[in-house]
Amino acid sequence: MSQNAVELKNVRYVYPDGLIALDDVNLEIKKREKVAIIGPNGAGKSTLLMNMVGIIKPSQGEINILGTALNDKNIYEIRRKVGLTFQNPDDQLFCSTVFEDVAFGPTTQGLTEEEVTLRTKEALKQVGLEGYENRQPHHLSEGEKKKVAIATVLSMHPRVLIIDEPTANLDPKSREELIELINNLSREQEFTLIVATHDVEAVSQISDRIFILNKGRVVAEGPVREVFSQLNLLREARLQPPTIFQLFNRLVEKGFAGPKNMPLTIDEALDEIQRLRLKK
Amino acid sequence: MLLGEFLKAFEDIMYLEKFTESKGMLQKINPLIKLLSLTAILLSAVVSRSIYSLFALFVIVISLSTLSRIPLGYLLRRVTLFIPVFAAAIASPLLFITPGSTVAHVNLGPLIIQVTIEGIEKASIFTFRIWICVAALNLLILTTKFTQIIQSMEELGLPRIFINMIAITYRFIFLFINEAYRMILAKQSRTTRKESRMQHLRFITNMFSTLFVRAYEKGERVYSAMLARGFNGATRTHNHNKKKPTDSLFLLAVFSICGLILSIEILRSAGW
Repeated sequence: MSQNAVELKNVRYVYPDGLIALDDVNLEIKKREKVAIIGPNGAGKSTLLMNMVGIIKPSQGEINILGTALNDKNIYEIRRKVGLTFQNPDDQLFCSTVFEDVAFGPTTQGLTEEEVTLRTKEALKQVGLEGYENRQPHHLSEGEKKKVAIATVLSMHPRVLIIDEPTANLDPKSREELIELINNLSREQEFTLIVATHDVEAVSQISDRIFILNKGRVVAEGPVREVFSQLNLLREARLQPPTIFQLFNRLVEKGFAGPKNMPLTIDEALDEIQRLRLKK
Repeated sequence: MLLGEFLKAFEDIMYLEKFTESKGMLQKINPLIKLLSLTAILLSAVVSRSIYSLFALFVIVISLSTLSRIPLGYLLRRVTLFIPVFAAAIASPLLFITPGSTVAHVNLGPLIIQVTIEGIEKASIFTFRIWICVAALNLLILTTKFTQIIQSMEELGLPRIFINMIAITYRFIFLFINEAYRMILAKQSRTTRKESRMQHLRFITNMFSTLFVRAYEKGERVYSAMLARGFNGATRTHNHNKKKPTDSLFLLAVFSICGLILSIEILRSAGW
């Protein structure tokens, strides 16, 4: 049994108009790993995610999900195990009530009415939206819509959860809540988490490992801190490390004592400053 | 701005679910029973030829509205909003083309157009009939949540594709109305002098063609999201609407009254 949740081998995807969206993409994501795929606008992130659930098929190459090669025959089987949340919740939510939307996935799985109801309520509880069953999606705030969109795949009990741009278009508080939600979920549940984003500040909070996708190619991969240290590469991919990371980089350049680990978050920075002060 | 205001007003009218929460008579009736009863009233209005039958139906509609705690003035305004369009477009020719005793005439050179009493009667009955139909539909929409209407259609066994189309249209039409509204605002914020009608028309044409493209693209993305959750052509909603004995009683009452009106209508047309 393969240890990988998702495995892409030499995947190439060409759009009908000839645009090469993915070019020789190779990546391996282990079971229960938390990874982020980062890249500028138009890097091919969403195309990559859609390939992983077989909504579009690669022009070349192979995709293995939980040890099984993705093909036309097992596509529904795979989609039961891999949940994809789209960037725009208005694409994801198409039913007239929140309940119907969250129940849509389990219903297509052919579960009984009782089980569908149970799973729907459970998923809404997980995202903190109990009692929202009869609300209409168009009356919800953007943050609530994002949470419902995540609930629509949680109700399917996925083994791989893929979220496209979770923090896009959110106010600071909603953004913070969503990051916390994703962290809680990945702590409590036994799924593999894949997040595509260009929000580098969020990346260090929700993932252990990152892939940089630029112009359809994976140009770097590794632990978060390691990848963010490759400044030239990031610049080429029109990205920047988190602000705190940049600040400490500049401090090191100015000759301040170099920290043991470059901090990525405010909490890590505080610890580091504390450590430096004690040293003095 | 007129178009923008119209779009906003349209949205308010369609999305009003305020009355579905109040504890009136129709709100308590099972949605399917309500759909069947109001359709019966609507069909009776369509086939009724006499003013008396229509008046009876009018009284029923008004009573139902009052019992359902919908302010009468509100219902009258809402229904009457649609009527002038119909009256002008469809009923007005009846004034002139129905043969009978002339009450007025208009001289258009060699052409003399006559207005007849029978014509006035026909046009008013027609308008009145439309009024009752629109009022019955409004009662359904005002007292029932949209999901319940969809569930009732399912219970009736209407084709799945038809129901899906209505449900998805309802879900997305306002997203596009808002999109159009934002486009209008964006355009207005950059308009610095009075435009000619032609320029305005050109903007509207452009806006609609852009909306078509966006709607098509949105459709593709929504379909992808459905596929990602295992969609394979079949859908099912979850109906939790129970039927109570009072529902059957209500249905029986409405069907009896409508049956009575229809019988009288049939007997009248048979020459009794």
